Amino acid sequence: MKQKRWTSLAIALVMAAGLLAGCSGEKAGPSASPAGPDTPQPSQSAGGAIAAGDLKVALILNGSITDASWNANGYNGLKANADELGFEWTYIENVQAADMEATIRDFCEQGYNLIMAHGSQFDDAMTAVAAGYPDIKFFVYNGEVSGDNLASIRNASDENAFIAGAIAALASKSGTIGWIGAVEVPTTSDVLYGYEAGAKYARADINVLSAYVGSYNDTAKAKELALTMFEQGADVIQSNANQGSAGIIEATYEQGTDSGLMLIGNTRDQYDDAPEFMLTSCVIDFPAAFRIPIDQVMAGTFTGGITMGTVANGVMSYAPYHDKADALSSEDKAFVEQLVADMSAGKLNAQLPCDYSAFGRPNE
Amino acid sequence: MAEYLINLAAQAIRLSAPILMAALGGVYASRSGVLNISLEGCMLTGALAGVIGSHYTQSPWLGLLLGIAAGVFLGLIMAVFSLTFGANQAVVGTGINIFCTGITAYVFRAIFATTTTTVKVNGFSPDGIPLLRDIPVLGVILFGHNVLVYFAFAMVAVTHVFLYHTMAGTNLRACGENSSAANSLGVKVVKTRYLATVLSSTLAAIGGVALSIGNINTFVEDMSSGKGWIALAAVSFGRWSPLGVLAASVLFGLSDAFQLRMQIAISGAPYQYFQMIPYVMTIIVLIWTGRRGSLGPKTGEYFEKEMR
Repeated sequence: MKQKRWTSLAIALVMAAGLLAGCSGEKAGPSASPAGPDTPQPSQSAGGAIAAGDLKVALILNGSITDASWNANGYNGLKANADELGFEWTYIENVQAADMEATIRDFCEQGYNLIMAHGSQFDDAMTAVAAGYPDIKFFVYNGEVSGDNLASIRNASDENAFIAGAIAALASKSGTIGWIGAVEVPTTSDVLYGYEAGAKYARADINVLSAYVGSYNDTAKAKELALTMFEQGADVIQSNANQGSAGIIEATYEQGTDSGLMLIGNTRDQYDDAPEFMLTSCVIDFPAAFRIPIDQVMAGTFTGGITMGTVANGVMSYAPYHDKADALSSEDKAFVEQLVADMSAGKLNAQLPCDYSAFGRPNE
Repeated sequence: MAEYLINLAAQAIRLSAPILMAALGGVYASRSGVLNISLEGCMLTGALAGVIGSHYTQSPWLGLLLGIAAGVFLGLIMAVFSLTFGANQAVVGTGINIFCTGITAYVFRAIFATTTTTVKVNGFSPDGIPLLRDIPVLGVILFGHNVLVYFAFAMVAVTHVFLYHTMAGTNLRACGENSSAANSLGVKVVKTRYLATVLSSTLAAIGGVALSIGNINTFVEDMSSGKGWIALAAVSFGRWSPLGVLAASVLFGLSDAFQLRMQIAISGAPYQYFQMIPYVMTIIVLIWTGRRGSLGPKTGEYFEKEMR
């Protein structure tokens, strides 16, 4: 039947168009040239130094780089280093669990000498592939894995969340603050633990409401969660809901700019997203964190292991108060500054809720 | 307590409206004998089209119009491939869903070229109906919503009257019950299914518009986050009837609103249990309604006129 051939052709076209649309999204980036068969393999001996011109870095992300959050920051963190040092790099986004190993192997075969995976969900896949490529260095952001050629950096997410919680509690007039997360994974629940502990450290009688959207991109549910928390008296909410944050911000705008409500952003300074409401943000200095393994690979000093990103080494910090500087009294601000100083000096470890002793942060 | 329940009900209505819109679309398609599983993709594309339209014209109404256009376009793709070329409807629907995930991400980035800041556009006012919204209790529940929410609920009545009280509606149902019998009585099966499919995708796209410029006034990738699939479940859950679909959607909305509140009320309890509520409800109701025999209209069959 003639029609059947038409049909299969037509469907193939629809599917191909869908795939192409996906690919072109990924390609929009900076990769100089896809590694073809004629691309020279960068030569290096294991442990030897690599010049920026020979360095090829691949970044693997599990979400979209436009999420205005975790993945966008990973992308920008590597990009900032590449722009400064001038090495060749590429990235791939929206890599799902089933495709992780194949994707990583693909980059190995293409001659990349540093493979970075952005998130602990890549731990297993990176460990599996790293064993087969001893000359290539592997790095997992927020991972918990290490090996001869495999290193991780783990953010002490509870540290700046502790600061944010303290700021939220001090700024709250109602005595109730909220926290909204996307999905309960260790790196997210660490933020909640830190936020609650910090809030109670600053103000023992504070009431902390918390909830998870259950999805990284369900903006409608994130919005309803925020509305419910406002209804129950919360006047400061930390949004840790990835793409769902857009819903939380809209819920706040609906209450009006004179409502006195405040938001706390996450992973970067989110002031631009809601200037009327943003009190501060938990900031992770991604370029600084990515710089650690890149420097090591270029110097030939890369060794396996887990480094902590902390307030002390500048990877974790909090954003300026911007337009909400009046929400805190000068004593409150001094309290926060003292808290940060104490944390950097390691004096607050006993107060911090998450046990990172396995990764190098002593918990007294 | 009273205020709590009022807010819960209002929340349930807000959460159910986009699902209801897409599910009504599913009713038209399946009643005419077409399995339209592209509802998810249509919602996502409608959501983006609404934002683009509103971004360039500053008018949410023109955003809605662009969303409708996107729905019509996707409905036509579905119809041409499955009704004219006779392709497997599940395959075409899946193709459209994959296509929409890719194309919306690509177009969004191409137009707004942003990685870290959120784009804001004009949306439909959430203020509700003046005067009526000030009525105690009912005002908040029924009259405090944006225009798309009312559209969704009005479409329930329109669909009910159309399907059960007009000739065209009866013909449409006949195409789904027994296409060759309908054809022998002079019903234009393919044409009817074309219209039903296009309408189906369009309603899903309007559901998407409700998610973007009817709710958060911006677009984020994959923001439909499975609501099109829940709508598809609501169609069979609601026994392929507009009133059943209304009940199913409101039940989904209500249990979602309830679980969000339970999480906040009982902190520390594993939130996954609360998030299971809508799905457990579905299974329970399906077990209960599933016993009543009817398998619903026959969907997915290719109707080839020349052969009959």
